[in-house]
Amino acid sequence: MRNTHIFRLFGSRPTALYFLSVWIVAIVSSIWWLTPSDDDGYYVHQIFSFIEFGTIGLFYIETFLKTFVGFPGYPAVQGSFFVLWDAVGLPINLYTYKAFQILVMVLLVGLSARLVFVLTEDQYQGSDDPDWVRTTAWARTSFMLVVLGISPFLIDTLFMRPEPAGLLSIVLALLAFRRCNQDGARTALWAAITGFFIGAAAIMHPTFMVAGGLVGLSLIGFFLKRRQYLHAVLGSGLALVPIAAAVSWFLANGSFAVNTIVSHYTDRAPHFGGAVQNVTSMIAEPFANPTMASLFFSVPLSVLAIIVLLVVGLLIWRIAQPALPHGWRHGATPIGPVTAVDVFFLGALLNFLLDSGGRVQILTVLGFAASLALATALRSNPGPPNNPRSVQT
Amino acid sequence: MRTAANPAPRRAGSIVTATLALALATAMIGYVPLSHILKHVVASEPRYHHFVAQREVGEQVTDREMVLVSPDRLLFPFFDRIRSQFQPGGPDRPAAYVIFSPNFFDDSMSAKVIADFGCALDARGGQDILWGILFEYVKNVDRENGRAIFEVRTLLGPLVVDFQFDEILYEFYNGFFVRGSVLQIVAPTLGGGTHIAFPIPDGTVCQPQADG
Repeated sequence: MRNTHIFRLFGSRPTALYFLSVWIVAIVSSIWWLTPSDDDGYYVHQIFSFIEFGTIGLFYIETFLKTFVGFPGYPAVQGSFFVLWDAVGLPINLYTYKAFQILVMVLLVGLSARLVFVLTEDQYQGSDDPDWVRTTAWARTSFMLVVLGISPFLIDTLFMRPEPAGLLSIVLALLAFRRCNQDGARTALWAAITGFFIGAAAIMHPTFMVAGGLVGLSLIGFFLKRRQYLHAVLGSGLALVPIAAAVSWFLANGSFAVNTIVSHYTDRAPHFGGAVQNVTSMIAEPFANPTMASLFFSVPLSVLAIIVLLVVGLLIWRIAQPALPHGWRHGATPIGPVTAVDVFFLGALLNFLLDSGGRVQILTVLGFAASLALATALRSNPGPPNNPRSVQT
Repeated sequence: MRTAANPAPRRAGSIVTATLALALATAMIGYVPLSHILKHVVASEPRYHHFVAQREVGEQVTDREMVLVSPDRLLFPFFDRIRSQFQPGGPDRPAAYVIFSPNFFDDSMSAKVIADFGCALDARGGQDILWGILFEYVKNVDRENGRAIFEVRTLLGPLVVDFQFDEILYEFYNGFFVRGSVLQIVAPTLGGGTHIAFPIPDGTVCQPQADG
């Protein structure tokens, strides 16, 4: 594949930037093409609640109530954003109410592209063919941007939902973790930042307690394995800061708050295989009931199924080979060649397998994690042996 | 012919391949936006669009009218009213209420909110109501006589509304916005039965209504 025309086309910087531009246009124009959802209505109330009352709640008829059905991370961060937005005199209306979500989405897609690019550069650090490394990095970036579009990721992420903010926290954590692995004086600081973002993801949505939690545990294991005890302590400690803040919010509001959140998620008790069954039937739905809606969901779910199987296959293949001829030998987790991106994918997959129904929100996270994992796992041509300093995230 | 001396066909083929590959990749990134846009183009009945609703309903609503929506997604043509509800001193116009999101309360709070709703309607005699509702919450519509029965969900059970409408402001394939009056509401009770929540029963004590 090294010299194919398509590889060179997708492996060029202008092509990757073009795909990124298409993403940005799609995200920003969602103000027009995407009609608001019920979640939008719920979170818009919380924006105004945060601006006017400094808390998370909504009006029902004449009664203002604090709400405890969701984790407080997303409404608090979004509310703070709009407090500043409002303070500088910008309007909040039908055209601007999604400003925060759009900003998060643009950052998420842009930084994910950056993550794929730098991980590829790291993987082939020390190569005697830097042009080829750069082409591979851009090709992987382009591939990730394209696959992400046709995965279920975008189905639900442009509504006001906490998943993109959680994913952005994870991507920021992975970028910070990469800095931990580079030579420098402040690696412990980057470990602390990594931990903070993993903790921040956990308070956005329960999905990230599983997927992000697994990443956190693997990184602690990595630090301990390398005897970086300070890094492990700082990372764990900073991860607990946002979590402690969220727990305090519930406890400070008494038993009603705690009972509400507990009963809300008790209704969603894990049921192994329920989501798989549901997704399989949604993929097959157009054959039994060929409507636009069934086709709309079937296509990205089919793509997701293929990506997930590919990534799982690649992971098994990699684990089965203790020392691959190039790359991966310095995987930054205690699990040999399994990288932190892979761990995040496995966490998202576990979350999906445990979900009772395969709700779209869980599929958006799995779609993102699978696209990222596949893009970073792809290889076009054996490169030179890894530089010993090179560490996969 | 592909020869080193005549590379033009090869170059043309490459350009075609590259263009097709880029077009396909662009379509893949745009899959979700293009699907949403396409549904408005090819659908036999009009799909709901918030900017159309803003024009057809949001700009037509009068200062006297109370806005009710079921569910939240239909709230957006009345954006200014959402915020005014939260501002100090209460709304200067009738607010826009979601009737009801079942997740947010326990049973006793649901009963209180239903009672408050009856009082808010009573303050205006059930008149001057603009209700946006999806057909999944509409049990029956008599278009000739302008009557509809709504059945919206609450945590306690279904809330049945007898609604008389004078005008349909905006209709789409799975819902409409209607202007009219609430005639009666039969609501669930904490004990598992039902009661008439509007007109409010004699002896009911209501809080002063900010938008009365």
